[in-house]
Amino acid sequence: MSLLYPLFLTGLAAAGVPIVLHMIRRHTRKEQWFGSLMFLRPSRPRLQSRRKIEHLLLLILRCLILALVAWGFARPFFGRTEPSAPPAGIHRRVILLDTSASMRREGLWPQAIARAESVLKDLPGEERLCIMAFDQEARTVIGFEQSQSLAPDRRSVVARQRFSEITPTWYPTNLDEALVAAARALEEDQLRDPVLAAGTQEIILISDMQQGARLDRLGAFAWPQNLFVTVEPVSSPRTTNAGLTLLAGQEFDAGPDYDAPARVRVQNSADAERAQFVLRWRQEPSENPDGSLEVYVAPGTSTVFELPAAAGQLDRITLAGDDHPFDNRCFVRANPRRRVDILYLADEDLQDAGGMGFYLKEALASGRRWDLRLQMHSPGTSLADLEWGRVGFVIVAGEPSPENVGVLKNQLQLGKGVLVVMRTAQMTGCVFALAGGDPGDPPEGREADVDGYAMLSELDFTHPVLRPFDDPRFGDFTPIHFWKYRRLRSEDLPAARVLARFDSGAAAWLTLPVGAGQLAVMTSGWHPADSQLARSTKFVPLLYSFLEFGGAIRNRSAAHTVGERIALAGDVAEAGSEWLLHRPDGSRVGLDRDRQAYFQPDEPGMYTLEANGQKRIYAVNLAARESQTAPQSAETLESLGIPLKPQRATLPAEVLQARRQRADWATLEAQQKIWRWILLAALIVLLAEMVLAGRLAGRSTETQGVTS
Amino acid sequence: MNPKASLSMRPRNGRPAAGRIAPVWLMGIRSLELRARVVVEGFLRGIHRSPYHGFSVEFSEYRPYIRGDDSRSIDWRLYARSDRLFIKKFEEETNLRCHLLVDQSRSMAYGSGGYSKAQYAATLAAALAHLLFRQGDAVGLATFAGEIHQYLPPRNRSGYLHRLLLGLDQEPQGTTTRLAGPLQQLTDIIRKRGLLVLISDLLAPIEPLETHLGYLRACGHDIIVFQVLDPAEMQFSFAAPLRLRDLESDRDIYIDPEQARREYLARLDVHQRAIQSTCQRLGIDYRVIKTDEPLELALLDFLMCRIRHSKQMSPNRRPNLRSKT
Repeated sequence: MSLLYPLFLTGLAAAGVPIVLHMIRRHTRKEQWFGSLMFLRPSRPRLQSRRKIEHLLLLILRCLILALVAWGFARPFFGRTEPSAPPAGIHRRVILLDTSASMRREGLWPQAIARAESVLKDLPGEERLCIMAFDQEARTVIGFEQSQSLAPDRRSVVARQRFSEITPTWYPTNLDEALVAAARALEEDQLRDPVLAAGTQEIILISDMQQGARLDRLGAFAWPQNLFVTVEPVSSPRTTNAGLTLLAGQEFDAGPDYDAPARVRVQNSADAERAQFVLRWRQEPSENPDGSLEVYVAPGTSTVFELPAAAGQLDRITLAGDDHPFDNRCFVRANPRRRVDILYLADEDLQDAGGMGFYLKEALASGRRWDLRLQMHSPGTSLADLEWGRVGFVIVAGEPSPENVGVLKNQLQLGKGVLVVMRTAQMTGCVFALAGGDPGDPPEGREADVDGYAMLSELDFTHPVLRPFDDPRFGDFTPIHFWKYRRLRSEDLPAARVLARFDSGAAAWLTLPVGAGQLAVMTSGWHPADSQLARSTKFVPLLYSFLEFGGAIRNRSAAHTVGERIALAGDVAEAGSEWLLHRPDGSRVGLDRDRQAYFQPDEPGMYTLEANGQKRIYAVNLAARESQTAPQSAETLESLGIPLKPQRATLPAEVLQARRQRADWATLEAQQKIWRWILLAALIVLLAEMVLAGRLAGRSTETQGVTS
Repeated sequence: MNPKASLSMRPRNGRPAAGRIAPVWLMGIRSLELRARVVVEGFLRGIHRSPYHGFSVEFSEYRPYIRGDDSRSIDWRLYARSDRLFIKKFEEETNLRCHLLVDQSRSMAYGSGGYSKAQYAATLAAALAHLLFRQGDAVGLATFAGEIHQYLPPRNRSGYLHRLLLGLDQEPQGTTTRLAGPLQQLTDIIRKRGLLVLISDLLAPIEPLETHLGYLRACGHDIIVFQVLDPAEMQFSFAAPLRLRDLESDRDIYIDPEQARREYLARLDVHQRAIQSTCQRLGIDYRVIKTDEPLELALLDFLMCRIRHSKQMSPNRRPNLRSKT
């Protein structure tokens, strides 16, 4: 048996205390009545050692209690007492070098390189080393295997050479992903050789530790045991830094009549020394002296300012007055509103409130992003000559001619979205024809027998059309009553996905893919003769949800940041065209639409996507959080469960071995927990002692001498 | 009475003489009346075996026969010896008035031998009362602690002995032993001369004792003082240190017997000597009785006191239990 804390055995000396106390004669507890004390005077108490110990059993119990307590505190355990075999002693380290945009601040990057070289210089040659750089994502500069293949002196040379090749990027700081990547690199290295598990491992983080660094993922990551992080912070002597962000919703040009000021948020760093800045429109190299605005932003706060609308071709807002210019530009590109035509096939008067077109016209309001226009055509009129390039979506509310069915089917194959509203049971043939069935032998459609009204049930909120309603506040469709609907057997359309059914079980809304496009079917109209849908609050969002599902509109923000994956716009050119990307630095990059669906800007500025003679300009800015340059303490990492190494100095091998041995013992002791049984035994002995002492005390304090 | 005769009844080596009743088991008898009867009967049997026959003959003197006297009163044996007619002259039936003055303070509750001094004193008083009742004397009772708790005037009538015994069979209650008050009260109460038997541990200042006993003696009372002490009080035989708590004042002190014994015994001896000296000066019979001694010895002491007193009063007469009052 071994002891985890043998020092507590010195507590055994406390067992001598009861022995001494039992040996000393003290004031007697014996009490005796006496007839009269008139001839007596109090005696002086005397303390003298006894030659004979009284209450030997009590003494033994008391000594046993103290001995058990001391023994329990010593934490005994069964197991090996010999020190474990010395570890292989191979230390592994990962140097994480921050290359995010905030490292562009004056003086930081040379500091970081010098710190990295200093760390390299202090590392012993036999250690396994990995050098990684990180910003938005981590990338290996020198891997473990590569560093092992190099001689120690050569490794330093190569590392310095690689450092000289690295420069700060414009990407934001995802410190969490970098730390996770470093931890996984160490784990993967350990998997190659299990012997490495015995050595120490450490991540040396060289960073400005800015407050804008992302750490969210660390909370969900199980940090490996015995992996320490050493933070080597770099800092700039000048701390004032303000950043610019264009508020959302201003990236579309609402037209020449829409002359609204630009709303920008200015945030000042928490450790800033100045709070006065100047905003102005600018187009390099020229500058608009008239459009400047002096602003005041207190340190650690952010404020929104309205800058008068830009004149002419000015496309960026600049900020002046802080110490670091890397985040002082905000590129503004107001893309023109996109025109989307909605083709409505019906024979009705749009001013008739009893028709469906009346409500459709009112619902398709134009906004800053889209210029939605409703085109109504008779279902019988040929659509072959229609300019389909502008048509984004087709709503069929009347039975089209067979020729038009063919045209619509072709457009569906090309990717258009078509919504068929079955105002009559005869439109079943149209639905099956568009779905790819034989138009000559359509399943029989019939009008449903509605007893009073029908309601929707079994709504599939996982469907993209109904997903916006997937919230208890918005998902209640029961107030909408349907007076009429048509029965369409969904079994006849195997590929169809039913969004909603009526309470009778009949399909109400369904979708099915046809070629590249999407066909949606409503078995009841939204006009008052069929239902209350048009007059419910659900109609407009449902309609826009259908439009987005059909690909007519895309509800995405057009504000872009460095490192974001920007999807190649389908409206710029047809598929298969040649794409050309003009970067802010003037270079051009060819893109293959078939192989890549997005491009990722790596610096702020104006990017122009050109295809087939059409251009689309993207304004890409720095991530707003990169402007939060005030440093955060390394203890923030500790709060997320990452142990920090207090000092870089390596401990002597004997100390490390003793620590490892102690950790082994602690693990063994924690598994066995013998102290619990010892404590239980002490409690039992204590109970026995209390009982015995109580009896003896009662006997000794019994008053004698009175006889009644 | 021959003093040597009394010596034969004394315990040898602390043990009761053969035929005497050990107090330990005597006190095991719960009934005080029975205890008193056992003591008196035993005592009288012992007396009958002694040379002092006729102690119970209750006459006072002889006188010459005069014509007209009752012939049944003629002592024919004396006539046979002297050839003269003498008449036995008997005392009055109740001409002795005895007051038993019994201490019932809480100090009397102490006892080291399984019974208390109070029990011993009550048994002694009951035995005396029983003995005197058998002779037709009037016996009264006064129990006291700081003052007289209960007073029963001397009587000799049927059932009165039982009442006396009920008065004696009480638990000690008083929280102080003050002799001055009760003796002063008795001085005021008792008008006729008689016998006063004081039974107490006398563990109290004796200065008032001398004054008030002197008053009573001046009033013509015969006084016998029985000081009842426990052997532990007389020898202070404690071995281990202990806390002694005063039964009356409830005060307690730490006592190491090895340190305190000598001083205690010396002070007790001074106290006893002072009492003895006072009694001697006042002509009072004073006896110290240890509670481990047979009660018959106390009765014998009582008898011896009466004999001696009778001799002092009428030296030519035969010994009698009663003094001339």
